[in-house]
Amino acid sequence: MKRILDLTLGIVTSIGGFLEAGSIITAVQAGAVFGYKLLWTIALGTLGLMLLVEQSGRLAAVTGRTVGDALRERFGINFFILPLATGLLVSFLVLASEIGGVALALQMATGISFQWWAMPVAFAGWFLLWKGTFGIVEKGSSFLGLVTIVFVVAALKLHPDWGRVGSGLLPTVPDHDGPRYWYIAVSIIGASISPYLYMFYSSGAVEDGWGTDDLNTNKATAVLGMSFGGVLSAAVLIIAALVFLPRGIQVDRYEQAGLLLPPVLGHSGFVLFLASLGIACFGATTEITLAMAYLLAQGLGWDWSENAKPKQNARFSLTYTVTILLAGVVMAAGIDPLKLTNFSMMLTAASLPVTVIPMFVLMNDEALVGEHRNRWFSNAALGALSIVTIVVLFSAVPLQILGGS
Amino acid sequence: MPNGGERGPQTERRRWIAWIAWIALPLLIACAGNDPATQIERAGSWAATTRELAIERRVGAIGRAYTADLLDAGGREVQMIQQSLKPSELPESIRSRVPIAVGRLDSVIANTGSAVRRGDVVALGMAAADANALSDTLRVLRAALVGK
Repeated sequence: MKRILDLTLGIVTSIGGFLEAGSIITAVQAGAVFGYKLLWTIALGTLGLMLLVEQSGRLAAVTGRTVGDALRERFGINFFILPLATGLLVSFLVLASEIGGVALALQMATGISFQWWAMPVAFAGWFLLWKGTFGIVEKGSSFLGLVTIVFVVAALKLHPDWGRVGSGLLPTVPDHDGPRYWYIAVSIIGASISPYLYMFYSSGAVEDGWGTDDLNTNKATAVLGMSFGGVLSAAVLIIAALVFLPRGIQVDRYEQAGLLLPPVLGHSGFVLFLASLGIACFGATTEITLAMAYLLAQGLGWDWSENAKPKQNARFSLTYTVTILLAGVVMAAGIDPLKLTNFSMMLTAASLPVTVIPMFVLMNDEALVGEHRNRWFSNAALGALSIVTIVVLFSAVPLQILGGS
Repeated sequence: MPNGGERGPQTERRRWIAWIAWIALPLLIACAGNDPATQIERAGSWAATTRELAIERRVGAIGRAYTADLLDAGGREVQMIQQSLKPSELPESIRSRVPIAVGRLDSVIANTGSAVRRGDVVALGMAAADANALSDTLRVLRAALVGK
């Protein structure tokens, strides 16, 4: 009974915690300009995330080590500095954009500029981390994040042509705006496969004391939770394709996304959009902050646990305190949240090889994971994903130049 | 060996410059040049956004502060488009029509904003119709520019 409960909880929290500032806005931009044509990127990103989440959870359950720990021990500190520095830089930008997402939701609700909300949001996130436990941080915001199911309800209410939706799952070459098409495609992949997600997941598995008994729960959470999460992203894209594309609305400012649900659900749609944006981004804010503190603490061999009191892990607690407040300062300075989100999604996508390719080595290291090492299917899938990430790395800068403006 | 020793720091410096350029160049270029077709398309998108804001505000589906803020932001974006459009880059057939349409959009956005602040439902209906007409005009102008 407890296993079923744990499994349900894991799946529900994965769904509730799936959407965030980047995945929402990239899906809206994709649907508004290209209709269903970029649905395949959401499917690809979700499959990639599913794969990495399953493997990082398996690694944690079998070895009791997080991805960060295993990377440092297997490759040495000289190599580990690369994923550490890249992970921290990229996650910091994503963190700032998530704080921007919450602040924008509050701006849209109150009319008070997002800049004024940035520091209170950062402080609220810090307070939750300081006072809360891992369970509260992870499950609390994810349960509230179930409000994002409103996107699925709205998409169904719009009665999309399922044949065309299905054909959007197959990669196609665009008939117009090629650079922008590929730019958004890469951004969606960056939004879907953020390294913080599986770094956070593996740290959470260690926090929760997972063992080999939890491998099935891990697999089901990765497959079902991420699949349903991907459906949420797809729903956002479908709504944008049916609401924004025919009306000729493209997204120059994040706030325009607030017009997504009112034509379908009226005033409730507006309120639910703001709630979805605010809650999803707040959940991501706390998770990214923790993921960064985990990564640094694991990399430098500090004590770390969100379940312990802050004074027991002083350096870990100081890291998340400084990180979240600095990210708040970045948004309070007035950087355009949309530009920052798009740029950080592109940078996230470009940084993927740094963590994805070493995972390939880790998950095939018999001395590390023993009989639980990857089978041919996982290796083939991870190999394919590694190739995708390398292509993304080399195309990111040209696409930012050609399609990002 | 001595050559290698001298080349080392230079190579290192070049590598750093390449990395910085890799990150900074897109930012610089993203802030720079926009072609007229994209600018007209963006103006058309703001016309459509204005129409939608007027319609949804009229029925009370969206908040007043949100509507007014987004219209203000749209007004600023359209003014930037107006300033960056160079008539000399446009074909003669649409050279005078594009600045007029974009200028008209600026005033429609301003009128919609003041209708929102006054809570004038009738003016909002008229603003929605004006914005709709401008959205169509800008779509036609863009099509003429890109030759579709």
